[in-house]
Amino acid sequence: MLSLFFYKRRKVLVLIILLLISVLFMAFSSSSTGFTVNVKKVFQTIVYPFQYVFSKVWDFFADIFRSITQIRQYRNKLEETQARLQKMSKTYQEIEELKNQIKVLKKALGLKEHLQKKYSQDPVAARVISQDPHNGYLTLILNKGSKQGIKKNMIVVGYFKGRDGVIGRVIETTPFTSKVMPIHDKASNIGAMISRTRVTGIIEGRGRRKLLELTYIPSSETVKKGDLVVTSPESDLFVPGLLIGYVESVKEFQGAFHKKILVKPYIQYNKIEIVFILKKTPSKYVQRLEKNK
Amino acid sequence: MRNYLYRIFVVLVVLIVHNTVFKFFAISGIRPDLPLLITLFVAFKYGSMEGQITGFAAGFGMDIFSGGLFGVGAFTKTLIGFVSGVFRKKIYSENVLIIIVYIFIASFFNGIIFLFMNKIFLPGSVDFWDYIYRILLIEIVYNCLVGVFLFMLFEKLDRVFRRN
Repeated sequence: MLSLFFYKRRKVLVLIILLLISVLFMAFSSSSTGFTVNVKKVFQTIVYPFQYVFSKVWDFFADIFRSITQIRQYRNKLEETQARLQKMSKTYQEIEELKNQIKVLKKALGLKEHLQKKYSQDPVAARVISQDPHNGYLTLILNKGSKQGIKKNMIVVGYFKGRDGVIGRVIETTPFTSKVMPIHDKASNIGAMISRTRVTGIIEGRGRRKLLELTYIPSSETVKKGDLVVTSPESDLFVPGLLIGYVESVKEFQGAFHKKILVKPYIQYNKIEIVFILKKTPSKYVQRLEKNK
Repeated sequence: MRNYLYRIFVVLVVLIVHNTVFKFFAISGIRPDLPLLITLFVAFKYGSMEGQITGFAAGFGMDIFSGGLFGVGAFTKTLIGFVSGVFRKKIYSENVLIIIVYIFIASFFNGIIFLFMNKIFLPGSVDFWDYIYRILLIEIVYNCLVGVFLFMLFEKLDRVFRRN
């Protein structure tokens, strides 16, 4: 009798069970116990080989497509150059151009050495293999994990037009991958400083909005558009002096203690493919805070 | 058994494609929600039981790769899989316009439930109006556009599988 009752309502029963499991996961997730992180790690490690193989196959075809496009572009450029050479014979100009290109290439090749020297650490180069599947979050997934010595809270930097800038920090690791919370994320708060005046504040992410917000800068301070914003020397988590971005706009409100400052980040987290993870672990104070959490 | 293995395989492929390939097709960083589309397809085609299980698996898979609230994807997609399956006989047809309306409504509720779950369990993690204007609207339109073609593709794959 009872089994017939359950059999007739099996769809609703399955629904209730699945929803309950989901709610439990959410409850555990919000209470920051390690349970959900462990569940994720197990499944991610199982799925990683499939993701890796698929990513490789896709890269292969994407490379072929890119090569074909590039060949076309190069062919067009070659024709243009030949025509120009015949017309103007400005060989010297071209040699200069080539010299510059070699310089840029050399710079790119020396990226790792540059970061090594700057922070006296051995940075790990990693590729962004995917972005957060939920459009509501901004997390990036890198192809390097705890096996390569990556730990939680390590800093992730990117390189753009000859300068390095902050992208975010590692929030989770699995043996082969790690998750990065970019500085754009709403949950991200970084100690920052206006380089020109040495005034410190907090850089807060604003989700998918392109600009960041620099908070707690007193109204009495002078801040100009274009001022450089770097990581604060007082930060326990970040290497001091890393470039965050430039002041884009400054607004003052009558009677307010602080200015509203919007900062244009130097590196757009979603446009970068290769990143570097600095193997700087947070101070003991931060580690203790993490443990107590 | 073979049927379930096939479903798991399809969900796995959809998740990997969503995570890897579709990042190249993102508009302002927004991708179509492939796991939601496969959930809707299965629910419309096979009913609420299959829909909710596929929804749970697809949502759970998203949660694994997400840095946000764990379980929110499983919750929303289970619910949508179930409800879509319940209403399928009343409205589902192969008419493109009806499919678009379907996807539109489901995507809207998917986003709204996602928002409310975040408000309850992880307050402050997602900005309500920012999510609606900058994410949900684009996602809904993108889901509708991609969904029509994907439904046709899923339909063909399903037929091939059934024949074999």
